[in-house]
Amino acid sequence: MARSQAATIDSGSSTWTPVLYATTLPDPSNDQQTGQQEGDIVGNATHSALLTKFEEGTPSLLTDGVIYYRLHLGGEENPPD
Amino acid sequence: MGIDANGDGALDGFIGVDNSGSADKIGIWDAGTQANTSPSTTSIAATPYKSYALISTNYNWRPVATVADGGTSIDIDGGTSGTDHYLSFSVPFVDLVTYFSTVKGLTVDQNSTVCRPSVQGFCFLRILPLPSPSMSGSTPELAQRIAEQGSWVPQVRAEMARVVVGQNNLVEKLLIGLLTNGHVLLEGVPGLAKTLAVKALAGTLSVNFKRFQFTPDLLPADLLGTLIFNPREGEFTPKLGPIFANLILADEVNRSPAKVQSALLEAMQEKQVTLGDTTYKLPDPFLVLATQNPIDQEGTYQLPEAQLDRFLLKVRVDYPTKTEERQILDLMSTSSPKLTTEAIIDGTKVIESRHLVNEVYVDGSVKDYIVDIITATRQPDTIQPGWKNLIRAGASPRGTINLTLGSKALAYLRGRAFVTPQDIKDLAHDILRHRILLSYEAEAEGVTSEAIIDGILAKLPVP
Repeated sequence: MARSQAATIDSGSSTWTPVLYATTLPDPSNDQQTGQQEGDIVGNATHSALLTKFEEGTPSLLTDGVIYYRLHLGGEENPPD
Repeated sequence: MGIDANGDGALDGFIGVDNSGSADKIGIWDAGTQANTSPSTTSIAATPYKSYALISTNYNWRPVATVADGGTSIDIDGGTSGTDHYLSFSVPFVDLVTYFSTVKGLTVDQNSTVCRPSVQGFCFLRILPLPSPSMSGSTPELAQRIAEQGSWVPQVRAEMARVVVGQNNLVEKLLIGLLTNGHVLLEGVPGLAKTLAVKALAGTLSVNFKRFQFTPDLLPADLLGTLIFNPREGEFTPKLGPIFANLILADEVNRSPAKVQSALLEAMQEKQVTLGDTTYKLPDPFLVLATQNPIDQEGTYQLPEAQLDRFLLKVRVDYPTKTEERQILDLMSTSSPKLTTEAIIDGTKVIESRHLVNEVYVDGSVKDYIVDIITATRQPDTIQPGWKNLIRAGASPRGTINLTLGSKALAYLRGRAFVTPQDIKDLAHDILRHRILLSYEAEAEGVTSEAIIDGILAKLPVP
């Protein structure tokens, strides 16, 4: 049985899948494109910059469900929503 | 984030959180014309394909410092805005799939995008920040040469698009035939621009073009030529036939009897014609584009399977979309439509391109994937136990060669110096549909070669 989405989106990263491409996706270009750390995607060899997970819906349906993305950012949201 | 759903190296869409307006939103965007670009060759459309208001179930910020994440505060780049945070967001997966299939016209790559963790053990869209080093090989120099030398490809496509509305698949497959020195059989009901597309392609090439209308009374000598007795010299002299051209359109090839088809197909295979004791080489490039009509079979002679195998591709030509149909109405509803194209390249350029196509890198894992596909057509019960009696004969080694070569050409057309598994998938139907011979049981059960190929591609693991 699928968990509630609110619990899923806030869950610990051990339940998420790091997005791998040859090696763990590192800090992309060590960039600061936006000039704001809360907009800067960061990562290193042990902390993936991008994680994903999928909350399966009806198992017999291929495209049912919700896909989640989690970005590792360099700072906190300011101002917070 | 840019998303490459079909693995061709080009971004097909974007997904993310937009905080530029008054109300933040999660969205799925198409490529567009705005300046906000990443990479620089691709931009993001101003209006999202679909957007979602932020709510607690689809949007979340949290510090990367909780017990669940290891219990240690993390600050990778040592910034001044405190420790790192996770931004998490979600979208209904069906919206992504619908976007790719309806807006981008992509066949969704089930092995990379369909989310069934319990079955496949993973679930995320294929995201390509960088090409896989193992699959792309060491080919930056070749990629540069392809980018420079292949500049004619979009020009030819654009020129053909002035005359042929839609039918992008057909145009792409004709170009693959041109680049691989492989012959193409086009099958579709009358009026789908098969002949027009071939003539449009011929118009963009400065090469010798000939068209044959195959009829029941056509003779081999009408195509190949013959020896004519010269009474003054008292000897036979050769009269070369119209097949000595660079680009041949064999229209309605199944309307002539077997001896004419054989004469044509022998010439296609050997790239030469023998008249009397002398063999004459056909010009290079030499490409046969044949058409046939799947309906209206009265008075036709079906091409034997062995002859079909000599065609690199058998392309099914489909009806245009509703939008394309409207464009056709606007463009062609006149008694004197413009149906000619301007020459863009010549035969020398084509041959140069073929050399580059031959150099396109195919990784060992991709080669194994090709062999797996071909082998599966011969041993279909390894894919689906019930298929054992459905196939009389699978694809020949010629199928292996052609699938590899065709995929190289497809990579070239897409501006890439290496073949991806998606190239193989995109070409598999056209390479294999005429090489899988179905049994009577299959025909009785309504199983088609298309369904067999679909099943093989869905079941085989993708490298």
